[in-house]
Amino acid sequence: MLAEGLNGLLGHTALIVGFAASLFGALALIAAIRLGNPRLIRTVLPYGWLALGGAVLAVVVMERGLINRDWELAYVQKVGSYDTPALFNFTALWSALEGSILLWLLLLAIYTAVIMRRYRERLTDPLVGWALVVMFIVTAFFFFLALGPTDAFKPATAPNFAMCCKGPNPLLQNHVLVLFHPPILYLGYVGFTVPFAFAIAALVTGRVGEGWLVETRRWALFAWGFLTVGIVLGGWWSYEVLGWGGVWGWDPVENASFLPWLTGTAYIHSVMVQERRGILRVWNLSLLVATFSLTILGTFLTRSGVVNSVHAFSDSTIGPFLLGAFGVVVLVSLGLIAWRGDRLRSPGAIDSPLSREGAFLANNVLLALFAFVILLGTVFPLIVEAKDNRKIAVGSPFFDTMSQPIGLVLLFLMAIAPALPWRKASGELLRDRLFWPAWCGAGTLAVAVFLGATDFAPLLAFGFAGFAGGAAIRQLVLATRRQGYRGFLGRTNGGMVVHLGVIMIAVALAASNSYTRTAEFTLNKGETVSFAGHTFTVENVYDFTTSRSVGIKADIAIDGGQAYSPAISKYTAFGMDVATPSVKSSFTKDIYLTLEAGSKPSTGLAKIKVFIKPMVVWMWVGGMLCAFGTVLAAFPGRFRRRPTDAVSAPVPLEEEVAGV
Amino acid sequence: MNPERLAELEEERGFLLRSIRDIEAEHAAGDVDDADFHTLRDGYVARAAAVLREIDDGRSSLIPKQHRPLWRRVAIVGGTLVVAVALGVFVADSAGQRLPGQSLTGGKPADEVAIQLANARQTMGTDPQASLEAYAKVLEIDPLNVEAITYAAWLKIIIGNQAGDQQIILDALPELQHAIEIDPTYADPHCFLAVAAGRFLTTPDAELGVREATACLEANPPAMLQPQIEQLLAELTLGSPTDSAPPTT
Repeated sequence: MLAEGLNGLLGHTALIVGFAASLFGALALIAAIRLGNPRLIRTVLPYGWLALGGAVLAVVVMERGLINRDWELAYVQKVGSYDTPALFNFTALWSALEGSILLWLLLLAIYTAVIMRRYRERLTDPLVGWALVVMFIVTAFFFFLALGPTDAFKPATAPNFAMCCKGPNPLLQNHVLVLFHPPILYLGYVGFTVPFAFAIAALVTGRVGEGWLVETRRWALFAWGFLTVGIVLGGWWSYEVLGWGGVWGWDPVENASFLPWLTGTAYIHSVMVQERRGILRVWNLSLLVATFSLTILGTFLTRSGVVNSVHAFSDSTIGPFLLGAFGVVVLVSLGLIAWRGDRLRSPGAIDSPLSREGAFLANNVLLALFAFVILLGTVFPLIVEAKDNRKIAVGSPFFDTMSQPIGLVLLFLMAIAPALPWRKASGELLRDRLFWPAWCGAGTLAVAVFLGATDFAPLLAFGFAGFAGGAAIRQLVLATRRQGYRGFLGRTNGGMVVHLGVIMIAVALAASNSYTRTAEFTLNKGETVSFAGHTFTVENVYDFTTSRSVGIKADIAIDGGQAYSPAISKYTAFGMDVATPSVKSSFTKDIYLTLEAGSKPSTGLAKIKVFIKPMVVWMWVGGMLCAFGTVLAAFPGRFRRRPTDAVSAPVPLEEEVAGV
Repeated sequence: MNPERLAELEEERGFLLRSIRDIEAEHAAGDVDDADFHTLRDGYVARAAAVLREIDDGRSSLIPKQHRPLWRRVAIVGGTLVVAVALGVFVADSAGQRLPGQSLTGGKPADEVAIQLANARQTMGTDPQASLEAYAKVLEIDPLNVEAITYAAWLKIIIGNQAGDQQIILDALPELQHAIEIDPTYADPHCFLAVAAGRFLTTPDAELGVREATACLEANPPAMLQPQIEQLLAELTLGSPTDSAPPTT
């Protein structure tokens, strides 16, 4: 073992300072709140800044270690190499367990500091105080993980370059999206700590009315927005890097990100019902607790090694702690909800299922069912292995079969809900409001059939997508007529832009899953083949070498035009083959080319696989719309609709407010 | 009473009780004289009493627990259980053996093909129907999977033979020929076609049997099949098919 170097020493010091600051911050706040001492409460501010400083320093030191190739650190030996390009050397921080916990920690410390700064004038408010206590406790827990079970600054033995220092996993040094996808996804995961902290604070203080919801509305929205964009970027990375032609494979890592997204989506809908009608209090608290606990459970599933073997879990350094944390979060939250049960009873009830709150409730039930299905499918193999010592897998068909009907009903609800008023809708009103959206749906269906779409499920998806799109556009048109550009702002209108994004993603998934055409060809250099109305000509097949890999590449001209170059790279340090697809994208379809094993540059032989995938680009555009809509929803402009206003009530104009 | 108001009152109660303790400590330390102490403490006690009364009133005005009708509770719990059990059965039915390197859930279509092929191979000797179903799942994903076509046809031939149903066997023969068309170098469909033609048809087709047995042996068949096919070829060439056992897989 090497002596601890400067980076190790600095890193450990930063983590110890951060851990102590978070822990003392939590304890000091608890004491100050209990004693009702405002001066003591003010003393926690430095603890928050110290914790942030510790996290920032730890990350900076680790990046320094990676950039300077500090082989005295075990983590640098694990993910660093002399050959890794600067970009991927930087992203190597989050390419393995220890570093990704540091990234999590940094974001958590930033969120905690931002909350502290945002509410610095209200720290004596017990609701804010207890929320900060929760933030400090969660931060202290992650500092503890970073110090102990996942110590990124552990000193290493002298490097044996024949065995170590190969750089990050080849799949994580193959595309620029590695720079964006994990941090954005983590911003979503970690962001849900804020509404969770306020929910716990509301339970502790007994202020379980609607006040805490207003405090956390934007935080939940931002966390959801980041999670959404992070998931879409993950799909994009998978599509561009893994070379199997798909964006979503239902693997445990994907499921772990999708689960909190589902419960978070349910929450940002049902929270409106509570704000408006004072109902679903327990449900909303449960959804927030579920969302936060699922981020912990997801981290456990993907980081503890349990997905490889249940029995590997006991050898894992982090697994028991994460599982313990999950248990504590669930038990404490449920205990608090039970304790405050008498105050959580709703003053009202849903008057009619044909109302906006009725539609939101149905949407929530479906999203919760969806989450249960994904959770069941993900943990079922673990349960069987633990019980029977039998290794099984739950394949994509289970998830596909279950997600299809749920997704279709959700699309239908997205069409109906924006047209529904609160409390009760009459048949006449619904007929009037759904007239144009229904025609949009019928028109979309007719266009799809005209363009050759077949099969019941995708046609239904297109029809419902048109219906839902029409409903969202109707809402936006009405809002912009009344308020000009401000008609795009606010939760309802921004939400409709998000709906349009989700609809585009749904259409892209339905089209690409149902109508992808695939073929495999073995061609000699100069040979041309026709498939699905396109020609593919092998212009060249050749070897290439980089500092990290050797490989073969083929230049394939599509329709006699530009050549696309799929490749297979063998990362020499790992001995691992990585296929790199080449994609010609357009708004209607992607032509996705991969080079298959068996291609021989020496004889000019290319084995290629061609995927014709309709409407994939819609998925990325839909993801961007979701992000844009989230921002619009979070910034309601100067004149905001009160939550108690009627759905169709106009937002007051500046002149009216000024009394002009 | 609104829970927010109730919480505010409870916070005020905490403040007043702390203040009473504080003033008592100040008095005990001699920092506050008796007259001021009594005035201040009486004021705090009166305010605390008022707040406590208001809290009591507030608690009693909280919305009482609603007792849902029994049938509704039974329906909710029963419905949830039925959905949970149905999902459990479905997920159990959808699960298959996990191969080395295989992900716990999901995966690429190729992974699903591998899982179902492994399932089919595992159950072939013990539960031919389950094996056939697994091959059917493979063919849903990859209709040209030559192993699935071959072994699904072979299982049908065995089932037909055991049931004494020649039609099942005759229906399966074109499937083996389809597998041969897809990959003429794959030995197994040649071998099975030879066995079916030479042993299982009511009127054995020796010519087909010899041709396919020869093709099987030329295509490097699995080691366990080779001696049986050689024996079959010898019998067919001599023109005296025997009742020896068909090859097993």
